[in-house]
Amino acid sequence: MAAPSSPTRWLNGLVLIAFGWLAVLLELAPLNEEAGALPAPDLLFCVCAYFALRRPTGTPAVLVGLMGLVRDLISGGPVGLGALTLLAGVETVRSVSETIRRRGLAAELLMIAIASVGMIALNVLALVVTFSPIPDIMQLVLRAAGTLGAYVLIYLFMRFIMRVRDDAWRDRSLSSGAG
Amino acid sequence: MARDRGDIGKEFGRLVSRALMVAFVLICVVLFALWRADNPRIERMRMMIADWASPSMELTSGPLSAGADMIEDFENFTRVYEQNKSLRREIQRLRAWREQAQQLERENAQLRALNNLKLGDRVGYVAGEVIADSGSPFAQSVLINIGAFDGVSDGAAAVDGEGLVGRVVGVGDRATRVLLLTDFSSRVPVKVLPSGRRAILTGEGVDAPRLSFLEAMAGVAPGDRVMTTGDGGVFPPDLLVGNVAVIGETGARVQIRADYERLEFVRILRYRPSTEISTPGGLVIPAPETAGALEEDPLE
Repeated sequence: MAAPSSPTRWLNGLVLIAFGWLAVLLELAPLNEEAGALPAPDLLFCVCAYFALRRPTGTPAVLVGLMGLVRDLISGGPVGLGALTLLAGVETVRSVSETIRRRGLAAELLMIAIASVGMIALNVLALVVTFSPIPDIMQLVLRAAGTLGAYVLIYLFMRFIMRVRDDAWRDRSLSSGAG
Repeated sequence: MARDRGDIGKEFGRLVSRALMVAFVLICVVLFALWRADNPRIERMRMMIADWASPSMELTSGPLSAGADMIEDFENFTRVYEQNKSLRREIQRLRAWREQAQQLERENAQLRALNNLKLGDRVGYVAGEVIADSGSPFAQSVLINIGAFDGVSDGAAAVDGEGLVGRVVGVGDRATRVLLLTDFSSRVPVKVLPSGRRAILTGEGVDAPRLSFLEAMAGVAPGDRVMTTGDGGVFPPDLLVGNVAVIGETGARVQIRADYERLEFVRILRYRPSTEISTPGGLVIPAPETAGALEEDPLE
């Protein structure tokens, strides 16, 4: 895969920030404040994972972490923990991006589900270790399920409406066309 | 040669990005430790970011709330006939109550005038719109689009039309964070009426907070009203919190009266206790040092 040029990388970064910020705003929109209400899905993870799979070089890890940190600060949750688990989740997905690209959408969804559950497990583990209160487990399970459902919607939105496609696939077709 | 330079550049870039990653992880760990230690710097950082983000959050929350309201209104529309009938009955009932309340108010004013009673200071308020929530089960708080510029102060009580919503825990210039009664960190001194038993309302991340340190269970029954005590001078006394919902082996739980399901507008109360008792009364014997000083006073 040819490495994208510097302006393209910057553009990719800006697009990621725009969609990431939109995801944070949607996630924090006040719809129902009841403690037992359906929790919002992790939309920021969905957006970052989608970009990390398709634009691995245009999705810098530090940028992902910074967006996670801003979300932690605005949301009122444990500061830094959400950013670290988001970073771990996105990097896990990125590390198997080549395999996922070969296997298709089912493998992608499976990986998103695994990463989502892993992120929640890491969150809970950190809270247990630091003697912090832990939310209702059912709420966490619902959040993981909601994240998987939201990923499908984000996949469809990004692929067919915003036309954010696979960089590597485009590079391959370009090089085969040139050859 | 050029290729070597390119390789060195790439290697340098990789090193920089790794160093940045390590630094970022360390910063996150430090911030998490500060959050766990309830360091006030974290809340200041939160409010700085919230101030910066509040205009865009207002832009997003408006259309989304409107959309959610439209869906709910459509659901209501399908059973408008039943609602109309029940509302008419409610109006009839409330008219009778209004007459009774007006009579009682007149009687109350006459009795107060007879007693020459000094009333406590009125509680002022400033109202704001909810622009964001915590979005995850790890915290229960909301952001409001008013801040220090509007006269909001830290620790103030937040209420909606029904009852107590929570407490202000962070104040920015244009945004305020309110910790809901259901949050793990929420603790509010309350009393249960009519028994008058005192307790601490403890948030546990579920819809019905628990009554901790309840003096005694005797005289407490489901349906009893739960009000603030005003202890500590942070909240005004007698703000409605909710009703006792269940009494089980683990203690009593409270059904909160505030409408968390449709929390759109919140009032932040400006309250200052009318009387502060900070010195001992004249009947209390002064401490030995003070007594000695009084005796040595040449003017006496």
